[in-house]
Amino acid sequence: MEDNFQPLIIALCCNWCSYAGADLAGVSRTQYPPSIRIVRVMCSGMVHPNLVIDAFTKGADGVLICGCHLGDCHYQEGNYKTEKRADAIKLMLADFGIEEERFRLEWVSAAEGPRFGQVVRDFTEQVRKLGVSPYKL
Amino acid sequence: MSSSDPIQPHPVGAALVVGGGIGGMQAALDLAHGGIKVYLVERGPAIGGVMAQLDKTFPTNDCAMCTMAPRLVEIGRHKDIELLTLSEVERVEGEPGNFTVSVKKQPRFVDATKCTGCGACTAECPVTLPSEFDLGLGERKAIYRPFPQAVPNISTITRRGISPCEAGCPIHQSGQGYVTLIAQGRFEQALQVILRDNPIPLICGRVCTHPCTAACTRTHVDDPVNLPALKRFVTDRCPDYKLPQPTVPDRPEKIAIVGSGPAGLLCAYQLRQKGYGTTIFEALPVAGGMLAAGIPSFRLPRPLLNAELDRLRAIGIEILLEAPVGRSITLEELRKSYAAVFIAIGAHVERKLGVPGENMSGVTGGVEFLRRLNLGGPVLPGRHVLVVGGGNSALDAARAALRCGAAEVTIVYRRTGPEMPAAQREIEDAEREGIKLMFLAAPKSFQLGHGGRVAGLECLKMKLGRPDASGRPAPEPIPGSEFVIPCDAVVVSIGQVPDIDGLGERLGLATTKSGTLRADPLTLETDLPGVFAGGDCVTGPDVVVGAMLAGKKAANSIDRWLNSRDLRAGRELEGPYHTEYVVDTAGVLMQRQIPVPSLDPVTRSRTFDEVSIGYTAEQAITEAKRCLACGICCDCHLCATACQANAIDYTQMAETQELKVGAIVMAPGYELFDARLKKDLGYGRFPNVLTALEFERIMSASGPYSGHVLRPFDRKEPKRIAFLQCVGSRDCDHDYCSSVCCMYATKEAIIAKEHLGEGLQCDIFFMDLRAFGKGFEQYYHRAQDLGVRYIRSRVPKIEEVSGTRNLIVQYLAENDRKVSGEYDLVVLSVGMQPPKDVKVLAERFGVALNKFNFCGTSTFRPAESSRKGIFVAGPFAEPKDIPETVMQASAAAAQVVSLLREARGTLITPEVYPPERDVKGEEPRIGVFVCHCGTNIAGVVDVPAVVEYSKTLPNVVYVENNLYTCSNDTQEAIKTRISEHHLNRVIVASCTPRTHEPLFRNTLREAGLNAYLFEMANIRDQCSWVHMQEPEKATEKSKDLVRMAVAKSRLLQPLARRSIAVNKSSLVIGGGLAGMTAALSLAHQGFNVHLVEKQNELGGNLKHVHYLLNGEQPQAELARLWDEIRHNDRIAVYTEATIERIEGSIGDFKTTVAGGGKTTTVNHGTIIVATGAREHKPMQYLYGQDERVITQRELEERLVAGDGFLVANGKQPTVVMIQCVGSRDSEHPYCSRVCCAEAIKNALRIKELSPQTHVYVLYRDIRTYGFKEEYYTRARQQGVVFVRYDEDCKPEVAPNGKGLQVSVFDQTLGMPFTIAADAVVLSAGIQPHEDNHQLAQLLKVPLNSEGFFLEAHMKLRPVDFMTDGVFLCGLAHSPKNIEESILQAQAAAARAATILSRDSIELEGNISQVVDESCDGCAYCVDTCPYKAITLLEYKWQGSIKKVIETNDSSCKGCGCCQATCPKKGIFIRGFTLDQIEAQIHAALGVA
Repeated sequence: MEDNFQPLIIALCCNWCSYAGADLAGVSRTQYPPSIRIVRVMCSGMVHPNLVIDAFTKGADGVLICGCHLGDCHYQEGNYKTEKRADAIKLMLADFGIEEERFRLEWVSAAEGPRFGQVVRDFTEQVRKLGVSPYKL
Repeated sequence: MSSSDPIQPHPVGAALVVGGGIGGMQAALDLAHGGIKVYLVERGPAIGGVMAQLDKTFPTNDCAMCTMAPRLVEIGRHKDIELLTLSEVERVEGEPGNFTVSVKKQPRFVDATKCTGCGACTAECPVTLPSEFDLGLGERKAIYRPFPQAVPNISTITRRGISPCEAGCPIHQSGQGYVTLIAQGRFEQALQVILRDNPIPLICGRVCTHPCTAACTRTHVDDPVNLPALKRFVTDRCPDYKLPQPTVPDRPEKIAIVGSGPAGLLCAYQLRQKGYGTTIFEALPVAGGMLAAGIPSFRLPRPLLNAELDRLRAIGIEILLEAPVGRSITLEELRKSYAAVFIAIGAHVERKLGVPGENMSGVTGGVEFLRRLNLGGPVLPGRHVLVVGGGNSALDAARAALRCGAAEVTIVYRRTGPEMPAAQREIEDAEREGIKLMFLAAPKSFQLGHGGRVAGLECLKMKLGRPDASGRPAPEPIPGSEFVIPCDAVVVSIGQVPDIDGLGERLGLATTKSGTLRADPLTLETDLPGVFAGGDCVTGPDVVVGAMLAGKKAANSIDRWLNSRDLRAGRELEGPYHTEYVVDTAGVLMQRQIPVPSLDPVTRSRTFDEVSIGYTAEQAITEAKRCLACGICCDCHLCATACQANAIDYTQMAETQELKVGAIVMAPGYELFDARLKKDLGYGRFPNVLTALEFERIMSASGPYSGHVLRPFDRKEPKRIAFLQCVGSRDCDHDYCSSVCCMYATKEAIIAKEHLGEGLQCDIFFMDLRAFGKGFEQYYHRAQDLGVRYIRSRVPKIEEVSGTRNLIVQYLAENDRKVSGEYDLVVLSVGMQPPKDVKVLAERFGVALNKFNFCGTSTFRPAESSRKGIFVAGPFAEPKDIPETVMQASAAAAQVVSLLREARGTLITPEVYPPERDVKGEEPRIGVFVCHCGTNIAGVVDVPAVVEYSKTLPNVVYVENNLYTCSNDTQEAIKTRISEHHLNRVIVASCTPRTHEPLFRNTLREAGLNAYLFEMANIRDQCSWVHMQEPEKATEKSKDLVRMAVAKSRLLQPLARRSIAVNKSSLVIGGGLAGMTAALSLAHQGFNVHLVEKQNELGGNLKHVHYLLNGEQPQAELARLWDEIRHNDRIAVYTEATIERIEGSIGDFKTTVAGGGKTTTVNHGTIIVATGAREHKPMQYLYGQDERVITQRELEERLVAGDGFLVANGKQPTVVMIQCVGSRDSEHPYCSRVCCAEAIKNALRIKELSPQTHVYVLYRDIRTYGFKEEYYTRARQQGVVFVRYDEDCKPEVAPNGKGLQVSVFDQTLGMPFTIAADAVVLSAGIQPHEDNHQLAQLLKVPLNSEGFFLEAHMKLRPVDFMTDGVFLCGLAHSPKNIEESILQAQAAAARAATILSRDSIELEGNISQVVDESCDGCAYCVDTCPYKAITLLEYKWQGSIKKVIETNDSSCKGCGCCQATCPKKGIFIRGFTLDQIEAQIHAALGVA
């Protein structure tokens, strides 16, 4: 494994809480590694499991889904559905030979800018340790 | 009176809303959406109120900012809401329908039209002060936005004004500015601040007398800040500085300046900066005037002086030496060759003593002596030298004589030390060097010695007499006291005058009696046009900075004169003036000025080396930190330099504007009780005692400790927290309950435990736990389950443990045992009070206040003030929670719209867009606009590289970079580019779509493009700001984000916002108080109503209410409502009717109503659910078995019936009331909210009718929130006995002979208790109707677990359902009293009116779309849709059954749960399709 390996992570963030949390990380100048590429979705509940698998098979080193805290969903219950789908995604990952640790679901509120940074730092480090995606090798 | 009363004929279609908190915001939005133009006046720099400061809200623990931020943005961008921040109403005149309001707006010092809120200014600002938003727990800058999401997104400078040091400086150098920067070690910037006004700071740091220090506020504490030493420090520290080159083009005019002293130099500098050519004519062979000729080098080293002059030459100032005007060149010649002339020749001629022998050898003038010394080198005047005089020149001469080799130097002065005009420091320095001072001696004659040289000075002894014109005691000679001082040289240094001899004559200028040139004191004009004069030659000898002022003034006058501008206007503040601010010096520690190190006196007195050494950096920083920051903003102008939008404007002043409005909504909010007033609780003294709002900020992720729950003293995590309730509520000064504290303390305890783990001990000390709202009781139980302890006691005193600074809470437990507990942190649940200046406020608006100084309202007019046309909302009326505030605000809006209905729509701005260009079939032509955001992006990201890269991306046909893409001029530019380059997709690479997408989408619409052909790349929040240390990677990531945006953009399609014509009538289901109120409100607003009631008459529960606590008459009000409805043509009433079917959606519903044996179908645009609730039917306490056991409602009927029930007939009957019957138990796990007040109402009524009757109230918690507390107090005063029982130990009722026996375990006394009762009254709770389920299904809206209808959001949308167009009010929502039902009903009407007032509504374009070919009707999506917007259709096609889904555009919110569920790509969200998301992901991964 390269020591200076910088993973490439796709982050799907819901518009109302976690994308706003990422914005607040910016406003607060919270520094985190330049590893993530954020794709804005209206609700974490709109992320089809196939999108996650597709991202991995196309070479993503990690995939992060971020939504509102449970109970905070702008659409009432979208994130509960996300939570269930995340379990399904984890099962699918095994079939594709992808370590479960490359995928993460996190709840980040609009007020948790620094926490968003922390999530990115932690997850980046976790993925970094796993090394380059098997689909890239 | 009612809001339907006619008002004057032509009302104004605008309303004023006072207060930008959540109440004001709600009212503003409802009004604007209801067709009324709104002026929203907010005192602070941003809207949001207290809610913006909250971390979470109860009982859902929602993030407060998450829920309110979109609302802030909506207000900020609303075309019909004019936001007036930093503003206050000064006067209200006129009548309902037509008020004139004066609003005073304080300056922001930032041009709101230019500021983009980028925050570059804040980063540069050196001034920090306690953040109001964080309640002083954190800091902010002097230029700031109160919180990141602040609206308006504009910076504000906190600026008290020009600080006293700056005002006191003749040339207004920003003393506070450079001192503040020095304190932070920002020396180079400090120097730049100095150079802004002073081109010769090296000189001034050494020889200026610094009038600024005399004005320094610190003088009142100990010593002034040593500004001269600090100024010298920075100039020494950065010796190679350069003067700023003129930033304007050179002008053709040349100006002649006569004299190169400080006046001439300043004038030349100022004019040069304005682009003029400047030539200085100097008579002497050296430049600098008195600086060069008069000041000895041990005070001003010559290399430094020459360096300053060279710097001036370097910016193009010409200095001609040995060019005496009036001799080698005449003034006339100068006037011909130059556009203007400034005479600043100084005062170089000595004053004479006028005593015999003054021309003797060995007697010289001080100036002459110093000039010879300075121009020619050391000259020994004699061995024993006398210096006559007491000014700085005399001191300079004496010290110079010593350095020239004199054995002894004595200063002879006719007064005493304190009267000497020389600087004290110079006198002390001279004495240390060995110079003697002889006081009270005045020369009488010079004594002749050998060779015609002076040998002694004959003096007269003097004594001090009365003060003379200078204010000092006049010296008076003592006759016969002559004595002789032997000497061999005398230097007479008693002042100078201008070169009188022929000066005016030589120059052709008028002179004064004292021999100075005559010039206008303000403009420095002389009698000759274009010739100005100033400095010592006009004023007589003055200090250096006085001459500099003259130079500055002359430059100003010359510039005005050459540009034909008024020479006199607006010059009041030129020169020194006095300012003084009330600076809080409490707590400022005494810290004397740091002395400036100097060479030791013995060494220095023999050399011309500079005496003063100056501060070290450490000393300078320490000294600079003594500044008290009088002006707050230090006037350093760094923000102005940082702001690339040129938005900083220090000249802004307060402005008053007059507004015409038809009505007013007052929602000015509240103040928190000042906990310092409860001295025994230690707030303000003990650092670990906080208020609840402070604790809220501490818990907030955006708060001062970034969401780490720490105590302030040692920033350690607390292990034990005590919450003290009722601090500033329910006491003798506040006989009301603040209504929210029990729940916010519960919330804070829960959240603190979430942060710190369940091990955290949270104890809440309370009297009655008032969890009376919807979902509150369950929340209270949840807290208990989490281990939060509730201790029933009022804590009288807190003590602090020294060392740990922990806190000892002492209290009486319920059994009267004294207990004390130790805590790491104590949180005070401070109550709500009216705003501080509420009386002024009430007077300005002409509204009455109640006895608690709130703007109390009446039960049946709950949103109206005492003045017609002025409505109230929020805690200004009565302490209340967010949802009640929001409801009252909406209710106020409904009233306003009723009042102004004739003018509705007259003042709102119509939305007009050009026709949309059809881009179908066009190849994507993408334009990319990359934003610098000042330096916010460009400071880290290589913007040109991103631009170049963007050009290489597919379908990108145009790329440009903009300084601020969001600025108004760039919007115009984007429109032009769209048309020039025929763009059909636009990408802006800048900040976040959450705040800026609406702006750019609007720009697209204005350019004739569909709004959805837009995409953003957030390269600020996701690149430059979060990867500041890795600019290259931030640049690469920015390119990736643009590439992702392009990939998505290529797949974007224009989306239609479907428009629905609105049917302008509403269905109201339920004809009780809420339904009747809602129906009337809508009718008054001009809409038709179908009012459906299942009973045979309207009135509901109100029919059973006969009197109220406050004496109002409910039955009279009910009769009035009946009457109004009967006579209102707009209301169709259906009694004994039920709802059979509801079809359609917002704007266009169709409902089948069955009743009276027929069914009717009605069309309507909105629905209001007001189906009410019913009284619980008790099954316990012998109810129904013994007729002496009745409910409160039955009691009320009996008392009204006047049948003598409970009236004392010679005996003393006893009534026992039992609370919480059918409330707060396992079957009804909620509080019925009204029963406590009802019981007290009836108890008081019994006491009124029959004072001898004993009344016992058996209760669990008395929940008389708000102003109802007063009646609880009154009931106790009147002898009603309150006995508290526990849920586990309920009272028992048994027959006992003729009467009843009630047994109860009194928790307060800790003992059982039996009462022989004549009647038992049960406070039966409120229960939802069983048929709510049926209606909920028809409406597709949810119920909560108890069977009440569930609103869209408990805090901010208390009358809305998630289903658009359907609203909720009254008991159907949750238990509530009459006033609250009315408010909620009016609020529902207001919300419905925001739809009904429009002809059509546009639905969001980002909604679901079915792909019929792919859908196989599996219906997974049907269940997953949170909005029930998807229906499964089955149909026969070619003989077989086909299934497909259909979505309802009006119900769909675009969450996309369907898209993520569908296995076949059979449904997608427009604008967020799987293909589009996939394209973005692929682009991010660099795969095609």
